[in-house]
Amino acid sequence: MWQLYIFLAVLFMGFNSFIVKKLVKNVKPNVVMLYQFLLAAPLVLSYLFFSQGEFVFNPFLIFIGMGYFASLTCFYIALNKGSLTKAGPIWSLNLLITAVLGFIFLKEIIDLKIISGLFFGALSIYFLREEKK
Amino acid sequence: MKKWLIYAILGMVTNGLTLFFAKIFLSYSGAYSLVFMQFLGGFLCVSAYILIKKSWKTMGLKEIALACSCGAFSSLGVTFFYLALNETLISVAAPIRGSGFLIFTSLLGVVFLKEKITLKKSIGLILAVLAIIFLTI
Repeated sequence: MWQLYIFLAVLFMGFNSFIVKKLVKNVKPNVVMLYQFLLAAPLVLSYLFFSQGEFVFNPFLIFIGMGYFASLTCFYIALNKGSLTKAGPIWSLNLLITAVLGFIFLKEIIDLKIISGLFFGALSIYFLREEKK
Repeated sequence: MKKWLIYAILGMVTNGLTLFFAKIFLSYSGAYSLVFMQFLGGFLCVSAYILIKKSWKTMGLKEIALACSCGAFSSLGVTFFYLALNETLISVAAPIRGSGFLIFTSLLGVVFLKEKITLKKSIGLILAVLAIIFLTI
C-alpha cells in the first residue's frame, strides 16, 4: 500500500512544482505560498474528518511548519531564478539528508541495496543538475 | 555560485531536516494531524514574513486559482507521503519520493516548459530509475 501512497505523493508534488514554476514568473514566491497554505490547511482537516482520524494537537509541530516554510521559500526562489529541470533535482537531494539522519538518530537499518540506491540517486541528481555548456 | 543553486541547496537541507523531524513526530501524532500543523505553521510563518517585508501583491483570479490548486496538490502530496512514512522506513520512502519527484518534474519541464534535455540529464534520469529499483527490491 505504501508504494501507492508514494506514487500519489510524487504525482501531486510534481504538479505542484510545475504550477509554481509557471506562477513565480510574475508573482512573488511567498504570495503563492500564502494562498497555497490557506487552502491546504483546511483541506487536510477535511481529509482528517472524512477518514475519521484522531486530531492530535502538539504545539511543537508548528516547528515542522517553519521548516517546511523555509524549505519551500528557498525552493520557490530557486524555481524563480533557475529551471525546473535543474532546481527540482537538487531540491530532491533532501532524500540523502533524511536517510542519513534516519540511519544515525533513528537507528534504521541501511543495507547494501539501500546504499546502492542512495548512491545512484545522488549520482543521478549530479547528472541532472549539470548545466549545458 | 549561482543564486538559484544556493537557494536549491538551502531548500534541500531544510526539507531534509523537516522530513526527519516529521518522521519522529509521526510516532506521536497521526499523518493528518502532522500535515495540518505543518501547513498551519507554514501559513503563520509566511503571513508574518509578508507582513514584515510588506511584500503583498494582488493577483488576478487565474493566478489565485492556480496558487490554490498548489494548495490542493501539495496537501495531497504531503499527506500521501506521510501515510507511506507510517508504513515503511524513512530511508526507503524518502529516496523513492525524491527520485520519483525528480523524474516527474523533469518530464513536466521538458514536455510543457520546453526545457532542453541533454545527454547528461538522460543519464541522470536512468540512474534515478536504477536508484528506485535498488531501494524497492
